[in-house]
Amino acid sequence: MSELLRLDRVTKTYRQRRREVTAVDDVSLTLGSEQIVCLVGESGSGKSTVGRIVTGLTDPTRGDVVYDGVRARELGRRGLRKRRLGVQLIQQDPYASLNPGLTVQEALVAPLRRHLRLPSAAARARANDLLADVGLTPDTFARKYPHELSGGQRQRVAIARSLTVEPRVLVADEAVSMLDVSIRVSVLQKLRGLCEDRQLAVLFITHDLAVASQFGRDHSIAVMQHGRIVEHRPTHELVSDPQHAYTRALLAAARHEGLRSGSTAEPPVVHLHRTDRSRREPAPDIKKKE
Amino acid sequence: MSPDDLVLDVRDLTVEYRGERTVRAVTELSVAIRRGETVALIGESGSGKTTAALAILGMLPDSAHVLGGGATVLTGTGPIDLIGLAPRELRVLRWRHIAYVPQGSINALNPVQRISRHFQQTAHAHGLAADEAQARAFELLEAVHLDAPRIWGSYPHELSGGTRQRVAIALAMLLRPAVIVLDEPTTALDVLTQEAVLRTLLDLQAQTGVSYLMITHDLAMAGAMADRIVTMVAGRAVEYGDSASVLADPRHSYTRGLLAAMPSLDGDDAMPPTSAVPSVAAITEAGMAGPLVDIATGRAAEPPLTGRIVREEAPA
Repeated sequence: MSELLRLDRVTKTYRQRRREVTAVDDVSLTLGSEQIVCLVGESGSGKSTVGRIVTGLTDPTRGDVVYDGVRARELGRRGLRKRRLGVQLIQQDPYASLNPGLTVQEALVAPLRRHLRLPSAAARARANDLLADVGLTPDTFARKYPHELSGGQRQRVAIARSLTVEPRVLVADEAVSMLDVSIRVSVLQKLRGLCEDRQLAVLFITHDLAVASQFGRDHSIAVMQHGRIVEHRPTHELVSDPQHAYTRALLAAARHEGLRSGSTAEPPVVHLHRTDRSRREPAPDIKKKE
Repeated sequence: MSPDDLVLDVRDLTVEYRGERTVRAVTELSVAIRRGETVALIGESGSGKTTAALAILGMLPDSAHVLGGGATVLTGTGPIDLIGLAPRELRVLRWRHIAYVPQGSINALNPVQRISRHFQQTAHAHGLAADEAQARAFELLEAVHLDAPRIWGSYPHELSGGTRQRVAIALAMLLRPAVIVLDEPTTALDVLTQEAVLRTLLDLQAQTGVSYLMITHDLAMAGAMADRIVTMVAGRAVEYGDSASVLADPRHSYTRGLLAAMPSLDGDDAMPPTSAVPSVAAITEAGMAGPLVDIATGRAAEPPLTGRIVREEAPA
């Protein structure tokens, strides 16, 4: 493994009505080639903001992003461009992330021509290869529009598109959470195979610990709560022997412990909070119980 | 099964959407629910589970047509067939005997009305006196683990997603219906909140004996919540059985595949083969018209049931 991208004590704060909200709090993370890091947390934990910082869509308030050995703030125009292409994002909603006016082939050919400067015949051939790589027969799919595809097919196209510019780092933000369980597996499998073949570094963001443990098998999982990484360990260790109380709570919920087992655990206290749309119901404060 | 215990009896329900193309969304679906019981309808998007629920509630859109079958709610005063009732009659019956917590109900509360108003309006529409309504609402809000006096005067936007979901559940319970249809009751909620809402539902059931028809794509959740599971593929029920045995020993290839596709935290966490879940097209082509067969006897069987029934598949 060689280091491709590193977050060095990164913090991101937002201003919200004269109040400062810390979305990401002192997070350090290293992404190396052929390495998968799964980032697990609930909504509002800051995991998507970490994804946006890694892809360069958001700059951190404090701390450094180091890409290919160079601090992001010291990257020149060419360096920034390289980073933009080198780190690609696959988003949650395949219905929103593809241009509805372009056929599948057009969507793939555009970046190949613009960024790789391929002539149009070569770009079309490469686009078809990529479609075949994600398991879509070019003859059937190249001329289709997004609305003619199922959710799983669209997400495969989105994966193919992210690979057109030959990235070295891939950020997948809830990439399968909108797909049916039966389709999820094949998309995840395809994605993992492609990442291995291309020796990519992957940041796999999900709220679902079970999916993370499957996709991040033999790699690692980082658990986020309130903007911090509370535990980051090899996948099998984290699942079989969680150290942090929050990880344990997430695992218990994922296993549906406490339902039907005649659990006497008290229901968590529900808090009312003021008009604050960016936050959901806070998780019961587990630290105190420790 | 004692027929006296039945609260909802759906028989051979068939629903079709007519538009540019005619689509058969539900074909000969039969489900029976007893008092205090939870039955889960599982299936993926497009399997017809929400259409079935809407048909039972008499809430189908105009493009949908019930071609056959019925859905009966068994009340203290006699059975009521919900299908084919005029909208006005339905409105009277709906919240009183069978209530609905729709998918995404955390966004279904009226943003310009306080929570109190939601309860008052529902009570008024069904002739429940205001003071009685408030007493009941407070009781229910406490039952779903909310601080009733504080919630009462709040607007929906002041509440978190999990709290709004609990309000929607309390609202569904206001007229003490026998059955609540829960459509994906925890999607859009955080993992820990999901678990708390599910536990709330179980507590409420233990206290009141209400029955749930739960619609979900989450087999693990169905296993934790439901007494019985019905697997739907392309509008048809392909497997019926009590949850424990369906999960331990799924008999239809689709249920088996779904179970294999579920990421597990504990077993061997290798990814299952891509072909784990047979495609819906493959199943329909293989002939889903086979009879429902009792697993114990191997003979053709009729739901509703207590045993295990699976739709026979044509040999591959």
